[in-house]
Amino acid sequence: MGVIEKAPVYLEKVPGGSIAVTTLDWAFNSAKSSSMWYVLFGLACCAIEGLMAAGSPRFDLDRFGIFHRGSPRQCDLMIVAGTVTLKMAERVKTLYHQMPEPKYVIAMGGCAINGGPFYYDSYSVLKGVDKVIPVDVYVPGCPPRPEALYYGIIKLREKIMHESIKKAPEEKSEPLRDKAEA
Amino acid sequence: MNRSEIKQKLEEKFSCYKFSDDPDNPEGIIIQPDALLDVAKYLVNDIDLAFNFLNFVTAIDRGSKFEVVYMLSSIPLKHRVLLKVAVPREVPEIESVTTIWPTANWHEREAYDLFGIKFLNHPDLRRIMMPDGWEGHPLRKDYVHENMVHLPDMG
Repeated sequence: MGVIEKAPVYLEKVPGGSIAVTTLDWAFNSAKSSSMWYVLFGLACCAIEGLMAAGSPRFDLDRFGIFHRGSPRQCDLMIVAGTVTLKMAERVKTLYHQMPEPKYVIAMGGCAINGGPFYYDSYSVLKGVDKVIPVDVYVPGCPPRPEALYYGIIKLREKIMHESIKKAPEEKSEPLRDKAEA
Repeated sequence: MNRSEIKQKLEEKFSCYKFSDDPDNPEGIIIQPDALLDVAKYLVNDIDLAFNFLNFVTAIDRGSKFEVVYMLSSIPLKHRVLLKVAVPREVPEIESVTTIWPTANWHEREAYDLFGIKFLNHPDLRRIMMPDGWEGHPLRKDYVHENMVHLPDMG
């Protein structure tokens, strides 16, 4: 799916070098999906498994071209890893709005998906981060293995490869439901 | 120095206040609310007690009353004591000990946030954990919230 594997297929010899002919969608989507930098959003134990272990040399997220950045303004991907409290939900939303388009969100672990196995009856925990920001991929687990996170990232890349510039961009900035402000 | 010695020392010093053993804790001494500041100053200044370290301040909801709990340690003398002060539920007010142990600042803010206990003369008494506009005090036994659902009994 990466550019390197597919590039020879599109290369055509011309005098003085070679040219590649492809669709604009494919070029755009490759650029979008090949080096997603993610914003560090470790909120609970998922951060240890998903962000620290997955980013470590043993599992090595870097081979996908995926690096963590400290600032949301440099990021394309937000991996929400952990329990989102109501107080934190406003910050999640603020940081999401600070990311430049195109931007994607992975909800990692049970807590970020729907409040989790421990906090389902808590007064202070948001029942799923999709109540404040739109989520592209859900990675279940408590916490998920780094391999599960990779599977989610690969699924997200597949999703990006099916996007088209012809279609009007979805209105992603406004979430469907917003319980944190209510 | 164990609890009975500390209690004896306190009774000799403050004959006007009543001290009693805490049945729930082998290191606990129950004191009167108005005795708190005097006792605290004595505990930190006396050379045989020297409770210079406040481990934590917290509270317990006992239904009709709250118990404010102070865990004290003496770093040089290696002994400790637990002070318990009962405050009525209707008027949950107690003097702040921030001037004696600065540690108490955030611990008292936490007890205020989660139990609604007002610490008088506290320098900055506002919520520390819950959002600023939060209604109610979540660790009270009678606290209800729409998110607090009960799963059916699976046993």
